[in-house]
Amino acid sequence: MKLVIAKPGYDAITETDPDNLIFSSDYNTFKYFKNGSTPIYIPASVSVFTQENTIFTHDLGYCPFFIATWDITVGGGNFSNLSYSWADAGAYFHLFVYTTTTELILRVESSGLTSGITIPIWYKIFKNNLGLS
Amino acid sequence: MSKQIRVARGGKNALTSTDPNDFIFHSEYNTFKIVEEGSEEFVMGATGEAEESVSIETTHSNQFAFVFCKFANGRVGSPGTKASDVNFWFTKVEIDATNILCSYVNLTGGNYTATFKYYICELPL
Repeated sequence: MKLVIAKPGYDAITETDPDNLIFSSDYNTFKYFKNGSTPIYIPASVSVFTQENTIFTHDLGYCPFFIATWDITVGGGNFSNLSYSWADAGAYFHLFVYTTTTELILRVESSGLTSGITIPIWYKIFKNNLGLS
Repeated sequence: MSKQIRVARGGKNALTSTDPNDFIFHSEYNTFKIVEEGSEEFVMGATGEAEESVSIETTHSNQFAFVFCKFANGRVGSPGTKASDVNFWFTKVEIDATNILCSYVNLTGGNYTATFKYYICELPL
């Protein structure tokens, strides 16, 4: 037995294309666990700099599916998915996001940053187990 | 009027709420269906940008993939992420009708073992 909800104009009994279904119990979906945001300060450093911060402690005991984004204009409302990299002559800026079995972590690797910056990070963690623990 | 199935979040009214964020499920809104998932481990030689191919079974015409890489130190990241302990990059992902192509750059000087986990979803249109 299964539960199928078809889009308007399609027959839930006979339709097999998932694009034409609102929901089908034949297909897994992403289950929300937690979402939130946190500001992270990156200090000025002209030389090579590395920093790690815990974005969120999920304590799920496995590596979950996640997505993360940041406001690339720091308040301007232009968002970019993480991980993110930028480089110019003599400077670079990497933002890497990892999950472990307990935490979501932001790692910064940079060089040539002449002023400190506080960046807002948004995240969504799903219950889906990546199966990579 | 067509019938609807609505499951509201705690504290929200399934009959009166109009904000999609108030619902666990609402039959007026499409769900993001996972049509296939899997994982594969690779041993990747030291190289500039190269790619590993993961065969997929799904023949769905509109495909969208999420891929994660489990680095050798146990941390897991999405495309664009470098391992935190060595110079190995999981750079990007492409998907065609039969394969997911996972690109990487291995500047560790030796072989590097990592596992790619993928989810293929309907195209989110």
